[in-house]
Amino acid sequence: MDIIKSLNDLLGGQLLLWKVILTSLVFAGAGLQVLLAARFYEASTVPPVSTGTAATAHRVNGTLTLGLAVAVAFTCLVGPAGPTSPTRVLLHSVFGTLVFVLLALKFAVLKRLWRAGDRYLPWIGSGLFLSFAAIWATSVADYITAR
Amino acid sequence: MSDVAEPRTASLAGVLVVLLFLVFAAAGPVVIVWERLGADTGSGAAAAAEEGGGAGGGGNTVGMAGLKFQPGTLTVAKGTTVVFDNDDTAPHTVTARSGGTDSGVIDPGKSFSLVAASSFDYFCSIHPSMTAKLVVTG
Repeated sequence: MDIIKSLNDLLGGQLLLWKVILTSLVFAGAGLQVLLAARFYEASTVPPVSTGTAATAHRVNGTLTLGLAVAVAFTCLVGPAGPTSPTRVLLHSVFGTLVFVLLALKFAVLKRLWRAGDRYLPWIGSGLFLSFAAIWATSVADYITAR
Repeated sequence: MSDVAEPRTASLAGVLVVLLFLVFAAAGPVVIVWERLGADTGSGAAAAAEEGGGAGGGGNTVGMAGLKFQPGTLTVAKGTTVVFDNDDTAPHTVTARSGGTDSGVIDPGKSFSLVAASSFDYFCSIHPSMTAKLVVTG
């Protein structure tokens, strides 16, 4: 718990606000990932870039988004991750776990550990986006509506 | 996809990355179970404290547990010292909605106290859905 206190002090007592901002950035990044993937699968013409550029941007954006997601998840795990009530908090934990399960599946495909999983990548990616949306809804949305 | 340079064979690094994500995935449930076990152990101590007039038993104490302030509304006479006990597994704050009073982070097992001067609505700035009210009379 001292880690959370130190972080909160470091951020001028605004740890939660920073989590809200970073979680929103992660959600936005996840949305951009879907758009870029749709582009390099040639299922969409948006954004108007080449499929190669879309693939590169997908990788860079994915790395940045994942880094932010891990940072936020860390503060959840060492801080207020314990309580399983109200239901919102429990669901937040469930979707947080689901994100990393889906990431494990995705990287199992990308790293050729699960070759037959190629066809499931769009579904896994969509699942990731929906999970990030659910995480946002069970944290940031609650923060905003409680204000 | 053909523009993306993906490894064609499985590698040790790939296995490690996948394992790392699985460890992250397991971390949440493990922390919850771990803290739940700790909370179960701690609940006995809390009950003992309550028998002795501790959290929830006194008329000037607000407990924090299960992401709730208990009681939701506490009425005390002006000048009374009000104690806020964090009996939860998460850190909380007592932050006045209108500004002024702010406890800062109260870690689990720690307390915060104030001398009641006027009524105010307050919430936990870490968990904004936690709200309560202090009513001061006299």
